[in-house]
Amino acid sequence: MRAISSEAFDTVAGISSEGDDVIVDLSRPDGLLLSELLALRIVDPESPDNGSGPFRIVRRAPSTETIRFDQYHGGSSELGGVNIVTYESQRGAWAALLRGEVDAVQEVSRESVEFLEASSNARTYSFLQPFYIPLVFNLEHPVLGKLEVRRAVTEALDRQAIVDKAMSGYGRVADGPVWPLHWGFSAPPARYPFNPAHASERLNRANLSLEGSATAPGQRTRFSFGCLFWSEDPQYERIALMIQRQLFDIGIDVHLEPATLLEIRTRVSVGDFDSYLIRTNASRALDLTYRFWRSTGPGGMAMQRSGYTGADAQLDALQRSTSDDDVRRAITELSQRFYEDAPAAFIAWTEITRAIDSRFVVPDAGGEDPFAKIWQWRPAGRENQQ
Amino acid sequence: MARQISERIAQYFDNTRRILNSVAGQMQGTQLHGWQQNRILRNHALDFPEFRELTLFDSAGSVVATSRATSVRLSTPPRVLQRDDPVYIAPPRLDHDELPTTTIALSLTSQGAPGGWIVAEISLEELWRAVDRIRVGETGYALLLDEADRIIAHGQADEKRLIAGGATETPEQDLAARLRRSKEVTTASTRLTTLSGVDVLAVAAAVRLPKWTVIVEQPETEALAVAHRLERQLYIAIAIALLATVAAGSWWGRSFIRRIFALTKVTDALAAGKMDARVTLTGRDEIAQLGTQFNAMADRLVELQDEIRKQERQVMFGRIAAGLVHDLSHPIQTIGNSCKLIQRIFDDAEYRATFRQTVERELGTVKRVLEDLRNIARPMPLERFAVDLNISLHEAVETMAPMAETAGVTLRGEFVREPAYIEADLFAIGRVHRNLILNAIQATAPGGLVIAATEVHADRVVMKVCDTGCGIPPERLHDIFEDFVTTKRRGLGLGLAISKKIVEQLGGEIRVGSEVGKGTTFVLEFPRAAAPPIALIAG
Repeated sequence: MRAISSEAFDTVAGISSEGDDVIVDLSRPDGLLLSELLALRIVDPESPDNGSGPFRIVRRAPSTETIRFDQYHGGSSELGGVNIVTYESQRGAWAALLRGEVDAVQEVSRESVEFLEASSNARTYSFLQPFYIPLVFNLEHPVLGKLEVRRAVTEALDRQAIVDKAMSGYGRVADGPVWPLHWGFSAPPARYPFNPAHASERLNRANLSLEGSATAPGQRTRFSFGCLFWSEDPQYERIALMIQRQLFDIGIDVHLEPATLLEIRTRVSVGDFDSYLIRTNASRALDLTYRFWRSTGPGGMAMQRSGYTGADAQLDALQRSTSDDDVRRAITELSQRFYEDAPAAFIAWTEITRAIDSRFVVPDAGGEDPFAKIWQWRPAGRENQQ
Repeated sequence: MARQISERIAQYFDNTRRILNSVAGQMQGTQLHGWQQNRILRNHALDFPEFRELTLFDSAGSVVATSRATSVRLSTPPRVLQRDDPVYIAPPRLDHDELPTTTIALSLTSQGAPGGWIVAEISLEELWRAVDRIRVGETGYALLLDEADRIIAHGQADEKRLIAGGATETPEQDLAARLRRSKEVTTASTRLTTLSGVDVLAVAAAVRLPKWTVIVEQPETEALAVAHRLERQLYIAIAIALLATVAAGSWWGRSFIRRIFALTKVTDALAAGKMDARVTLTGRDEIAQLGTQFNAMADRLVELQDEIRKQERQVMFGRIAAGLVHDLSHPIQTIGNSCKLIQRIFDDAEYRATFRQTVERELGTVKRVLEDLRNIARPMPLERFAVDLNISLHEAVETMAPMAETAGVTLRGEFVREPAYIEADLFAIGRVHRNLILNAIQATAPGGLVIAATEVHADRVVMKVCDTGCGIPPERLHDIFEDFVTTKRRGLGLGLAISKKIVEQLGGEIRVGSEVGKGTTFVLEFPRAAAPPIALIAG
């Protein structure tokens, strides 16, 4: 279990079994354990690629190919198998769907969703994901480590405009890392509205006045910092550009540094960053929120590495909640904490759009991810119109 | 409309060119730092979704500034074109996503010398949105094809797959190629069936810049809907007009014919003798006038008829009076004369006997005349016995023989050998014989012939009286048996009328045939009767 995460399951004291039951002994209450256990798979050691899912992998290259597993406990799928093809970009995958090369696209690029929505050849399913986009600050940065600066940065960002323009409206402004659709979530007690004037005042109070910029000759800036952004998704380039422009309006010069996901992980892991912009999974049960923001010792989760410890107590309270009221209270306090001492500027929750060819009948997902029930898809009986 | 849409497309690219001009204007001849140029390009890329990327190149083709935060994907136009075209729109090519893309490049000058290029990558998705916004009616749309007739944009959501798939040999491409080949025209139209099987009206128009083709398509069901609707309305209007015409014609015709029938009916009634029949025709047209005139004619006819009757009555009465005067004046005169004479020689016994005979004779004549008049007015009492017509006719011939001899006419009887019994009144039938023979003798000139004959058939007996006299004109034949009709100068004209009456009372019929100058034949037919039983006289 600890191979998945060195910090997960740290409350597990021991595991035993009695008959068909698995008994997990905990050192203390852990309200997040069940969701973390979802990351586990029951596999056959002699066939590690296959678990107890509806499909089993038969090949991984050049594309991942699976075939139906008839002994699946949920029933045999009407699909013979599922092949997963990877494209360089979301746009490329969408174009492949148009050409009929694929039957479904996991994520349609924002600027293309409307074309698929208008088409009768495919159905689109848009839903809010528990993924958010934070501009995570390195708190060891001499300027970004200041609370007022981080608050000013958040106030200077017109996050709704970022959602509207860079995300084509497919998203929701985020006020913290807590999944807003969690059953225990209530509206945050406070939030930072877009107010560049007030942001400027904060910076003035932080003694960050406008001065000649070394990085932007001819321009007066307060300070500058770098921003790693995920370059493999064009959407993040546009978000980064908008952040750069908005912060420049209050005198903050942001240097954009495109990087792959691997490069970001690498640099973050060694603390070689001022800030980074990436999509982060909050998880529906908040277990990843806990794992991402709980400060750790050496060897902990690399992604967060901001040096932030301001919410450890609230995150621990969330983990140790033993009742619904405890959870609600912990979430409220956690939200409040992230408002008071934000380690990042929380930009937006992402809305994802999946697209599935109309040749398939998809069971009603109830607003959730239709891919979660892919094994229940069935051909509609209509010929593929090529 | 196709031209308007092609102009819209051209304006779309004109707008992008204006934006580039604006960007160039902000950057040309200024001493902006690189980061400032980057900011300008990035701001434009963020604010104008038409552009995916904006990059500034120097005259050597090196990147000066770009809107990208990552690597630059653009390049300067081919050198061969740089000298002549300030604006260069590259032929669309497939990008790494295998979707068509194109760039627009604007050459810059610096103090009269080439100053580099500002190159923009056109956002395909934004171009698609612009084309999608083009609507024709409810279901019409537009397509955009490049110089190589490849489909760049398609206004139908389900047909964008043609772009991603690089479709070739579509009917739209044929239309674009046809337009391109005909350099003299700027539009071309046709009816075609899309690859989806929809029949559309398609019009292609050349875009000013870039030199692409825009095709406007509208499904025939909608494009021709107005024409079809008008056509339907026209058919309905024609049908209604025809029906109205037929109905009006039928109504008027029926009205006309009804009135004609009414007129005909009254005419028939008048012909049948219903002189009080009149027609009532409503309206003010000629038919109504005809009805009015008809009624007037009928009224006049009645008047004339009354006049004729009056005249005929006058004639008849005149003739009756003349006949009576003629037939009675002689006997009355004779009696008067005899009465005068008896007053003088009343003591002459011989004369008294003569007087008595004369008076009786003349009174008998008067009586007969009066009796004839009476018999015309009412049926004569007849007694029927079995009478042999041969015998009664023979007796009449013998009685009239002296008169015939006096007139110089030969009177001959031709009788059948077998008995010719009929049920008759002997006196009445004898009168008929004598009347017919007398008429024949009087109508025959001296030297002529009168024949009285009989014939016997199975169920009837025929009697004929033929003469070779002057004949009767045809116009007199039809009423020769009428009362008071005579060809003679004198007499009441009751002889043939009484004869006809007697014949008909006995169940027979009488007819006449005559030819002027040749003679006349009267034919009488009676039902044949059985012979009377033989009376045996004992003794």
